[in-house]
Amino acid sequence: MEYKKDFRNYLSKVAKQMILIHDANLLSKLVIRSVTRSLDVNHAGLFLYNKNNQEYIIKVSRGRKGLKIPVGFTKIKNTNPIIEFFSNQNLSVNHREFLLLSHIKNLKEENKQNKELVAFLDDLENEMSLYRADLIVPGFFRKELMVVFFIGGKTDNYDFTDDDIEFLTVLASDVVMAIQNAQLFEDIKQQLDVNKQLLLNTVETLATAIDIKNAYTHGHAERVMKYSMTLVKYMPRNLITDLKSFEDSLKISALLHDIGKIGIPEDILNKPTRLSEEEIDIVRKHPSMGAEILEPIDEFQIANLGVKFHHEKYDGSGYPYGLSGDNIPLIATIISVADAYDAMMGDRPYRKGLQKEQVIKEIELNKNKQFHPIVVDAFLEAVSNNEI
Amino acid sequence: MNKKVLIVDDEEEIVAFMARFLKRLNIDSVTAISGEEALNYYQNDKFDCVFLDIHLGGINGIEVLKKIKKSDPNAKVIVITGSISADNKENVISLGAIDYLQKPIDLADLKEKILNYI
Repeated sequence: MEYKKDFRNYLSKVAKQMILIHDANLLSKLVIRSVTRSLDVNHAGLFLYNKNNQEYIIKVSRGRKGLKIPVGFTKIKNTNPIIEFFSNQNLSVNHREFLLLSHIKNLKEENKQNKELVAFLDDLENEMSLYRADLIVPGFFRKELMVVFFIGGKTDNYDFTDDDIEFLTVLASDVVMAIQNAQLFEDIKQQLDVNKQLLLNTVETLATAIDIKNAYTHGHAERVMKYSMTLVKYMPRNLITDLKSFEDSLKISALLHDIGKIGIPEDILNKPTRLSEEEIDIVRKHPSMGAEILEPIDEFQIANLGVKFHHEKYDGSGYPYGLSGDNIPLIATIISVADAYDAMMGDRPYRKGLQKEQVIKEIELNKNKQFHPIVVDAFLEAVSNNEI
Repeated sequence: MNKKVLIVDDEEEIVAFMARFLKRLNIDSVTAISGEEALNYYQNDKFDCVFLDIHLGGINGIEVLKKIKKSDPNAKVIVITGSISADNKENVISLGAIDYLQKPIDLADLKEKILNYI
């Protein structure tokens, strides 16, 4: 027996595994496996507290031989005698460590003048034998009964030893800890999801605000975001370390790439005639102005690279920094293609939008010039799959 | 004479556990792990009640319910299911089931129901 050599050591190993598992079903399986592996018992299972319904659901029961209780088939209410024995403080025989089936006889004998108690103990005995439980070990969180182990007889028919019971008691408290931990983890995850959604809503509102300023580009930010998200799917995987977080940044970046235009007068943005040199200088500042606006937000560091560099060109002829080749952050190279595609497709104060075939050709012609070759390849593949 | 019920579920562990539970209430049971088997038993024996899982391989539970009710309109069938939506529940009741139980089953409920119906 692995645990007999040093069961405390074994327990701490199991506890370390448990803390990493945030799924109650998986956790239950691991725990029951640890029990059946370590103690030579016919079967083992656990009831797990469901706080919402105030009931205990059987999570796992497995055994080498003997009873197998179907997992998820039964539940018990908190009025069940097994639960009451550990949680009802008014019970004169109540105790909180463990219960051996063989002890119930003694308890009945000791309390035979108390008819009500004896009836309760009869129920308890009956309930334990239904689950063929010879030993029950509870696990509490504060005062609440969270988990109940029920353990079938030992395969060699010997009694449970003090070590067996201590093993199970420690394990039960570890399970409670792990379940609390899993719950906390779940709560935090939900909180983060809510925050992320809030952030995205704010970003979208901001993007719309920029769009409204510019009469000719209505819905531009939203479309650039959509094209960018499509392009990233066709990019070689080895270029992006954490795809999920890159996509999150790309989404924000694409929505906000023109945020710097907030500082540009509307009469320049919507001017139907050619811009003067001076006006062109102003317009060309919008990437750096946008970067300045987003600079204070730590979470937007990667997204901000897209805002700052989306008008840089692969051959170095872009603005405002004149970066070239791989010096341009990847996120910006993607937005650059998406932005140019949408711009060419749409009407401008000074010209009508182009045909889709023309635009595609234009982008292909500008591979290695305006655009990063890998992004152009991704673009063409997306086009041929009808995704753009 | 003990009452007798038919238990139908494709999981052998479930029918065995149910049979054991009912035995403690002095109720005899016959177990079937498929719809075909259940119908065969039902035609050749008399039962006070049927516990029927809806999700069966082969003939499904709904079909079994229909066939049982057709051959014996007074049959008492309690449907057991993993998940039941509201219209599903009405559906099985309209097909003639007297009640339904949703997994995980509270055995105290089960006991109350069975003693109520037979």
